[in-house]
Amino acid sequence: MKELLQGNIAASYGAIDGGIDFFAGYPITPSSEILEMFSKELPKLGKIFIQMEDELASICAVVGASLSGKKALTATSGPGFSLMQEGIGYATITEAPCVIINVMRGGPSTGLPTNVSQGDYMQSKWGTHGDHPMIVFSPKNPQEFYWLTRISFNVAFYYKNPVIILSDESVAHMRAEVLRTLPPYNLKFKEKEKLDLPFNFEYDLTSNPFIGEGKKVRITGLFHDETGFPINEKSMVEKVMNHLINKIEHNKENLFLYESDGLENAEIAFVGFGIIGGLIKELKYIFDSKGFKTSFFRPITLNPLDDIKIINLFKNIKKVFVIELNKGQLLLDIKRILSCNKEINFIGFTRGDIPKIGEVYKKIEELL
Amino acid sequence: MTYKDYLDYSKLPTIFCPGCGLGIGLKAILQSFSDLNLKKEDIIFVSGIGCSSRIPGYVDFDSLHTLHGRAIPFATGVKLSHPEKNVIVITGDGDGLSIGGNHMIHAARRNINIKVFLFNNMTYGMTGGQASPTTPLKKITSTTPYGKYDSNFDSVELLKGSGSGFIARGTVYHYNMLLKVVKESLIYKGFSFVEIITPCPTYYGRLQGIDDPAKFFIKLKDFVYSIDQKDILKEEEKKDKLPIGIFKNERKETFEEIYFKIVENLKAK
Repeated sequence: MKELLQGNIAASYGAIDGGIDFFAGYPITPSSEILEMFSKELPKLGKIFIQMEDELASICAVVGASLSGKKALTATSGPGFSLMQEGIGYATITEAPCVIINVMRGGPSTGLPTNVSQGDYMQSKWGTHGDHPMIVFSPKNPQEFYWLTRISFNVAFYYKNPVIILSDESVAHMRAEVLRTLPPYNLKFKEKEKLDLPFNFEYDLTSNPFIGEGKKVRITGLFHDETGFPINEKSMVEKVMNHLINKIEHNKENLFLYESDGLENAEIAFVGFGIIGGLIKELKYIFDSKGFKTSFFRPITLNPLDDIKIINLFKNIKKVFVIELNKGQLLLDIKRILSCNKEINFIGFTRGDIPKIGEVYKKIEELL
Repeated sequence: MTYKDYLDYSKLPTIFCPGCGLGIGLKAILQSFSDLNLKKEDIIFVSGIGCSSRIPGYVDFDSLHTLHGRAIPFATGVKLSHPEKNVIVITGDGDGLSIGGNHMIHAARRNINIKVFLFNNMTYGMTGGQASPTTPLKKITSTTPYGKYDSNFDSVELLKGSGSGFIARGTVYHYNMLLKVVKESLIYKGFSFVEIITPCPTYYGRLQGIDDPAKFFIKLKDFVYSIDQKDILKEEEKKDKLPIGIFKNERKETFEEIYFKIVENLKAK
């Protein structure tokens, strides 16, 4: 049954249908509807809702719950997401399967609390200090926000890693038809070997005990051995770091979701993520109707990007237009992956709105 | 089981300096577990960052060594995931009262049934003896070479104001009294706070000119007075000294009790 839902409410239902056990959060625009929604719904389901004293506490409570084997989630926006970075880093080194929704608003700092932006693209990938693995998904509308949130717990537990859902003010506050159905993504989750120690660095993906199962689970944010005890022996440190990176890197084909149309037969490609997904689809339609051969490409998975896959998808493309609501962040990745033999153009907006299609059309026309 | 059964001997010796009091404090906590017949699978230690926060690495049950100042919110997540377990926070004066001070007062206010043991050595031992929020006024530390300009917290008064139902203070010199206080806090249902004063001879002691750990331990005796003698002692006998003992032991409805009652009521509807 289709329901008319606001993006933030759709995401909350996604988490509920995905089996959420625990939510901790702190009010911040434009993500507060998620906090309010869970405050109402989770007690009814016998699940935990707690409003913490700040975002530092929210992420730590969520990581504590996820290390206890619970499906735990928090939702925030720019300033709160910055505060959470330390806890997100802890989740990566302790391999805590938690989910963080970041509803992007204009930044830096307090910025534009009630307006849309895509300025946290790089932060979602590289926000916490040190080398670290990260999984980032980005929805284009409430339906996708629902699906991605619903599947995020499976992804987090399978890869034993935090998952960030990078939404934005417009997707979060847009009201649209949403089907509460299983996510249509072809993500594979194979059976994992069950181990008794809390950590393993030999195999990419294993199933290890959680806190509270009586298996003496020792956990630290320091580099550690398989028992979770701190170490600083050089070869062991390297092994742990390689494990953290490789478990995602070796599986990026399985994790890389995208939407595209016409890349094989076109010379021009419009590229964007999240809320821009609708705009680039529309641009292809308009330019094609005027006799151009165009295409569009929208990564749904922002991290890890499957570079080889993108190179192959774009092999016939000569001109790329990257359109973002920032000063060029996805652009940096697209340039890194594709710049050797293509012309790459950038069109960015940082006014706090989504530009009208006519304005974007004119800018592209000038560059063609 | 004796207190030794709660230790993971394969991880010993500890990283603590000679003359450090953390071992005595840990013994009091583990002895209390033994006296109260707590099962290892029912205990979870959660700590932040600092010397005392390294304690959880050496025990033979679940433990979570987390971020600087954040032990209490992590413990909140663990406790609400496993309400039946004894979730115990091991923290220090810098970890629990400076960077983690906000979490401390809110956890006390919230009354989640976690136990906080705060080891107060009046300095940042792990990073080299800098001034902490419990370093007394005018004392010399690595970051107060001309004497400390700002006053120290009285954690007991802070926790009273925050609404904690169980508040106590002991020292590692007064072991028997500490054991009693720790045990009482474990029996108490709700958020409990126990400050354990412990000497750091390596940094704090050396900078105060007390380089002999034994002398530092004896000094602890003169630094405190029992709360039971509060009315007997003269004002000048209490000046610049901290009271020890149990300051508050008052049962209140916990966060979990209130929350799960609401859950039950909603189910019944």
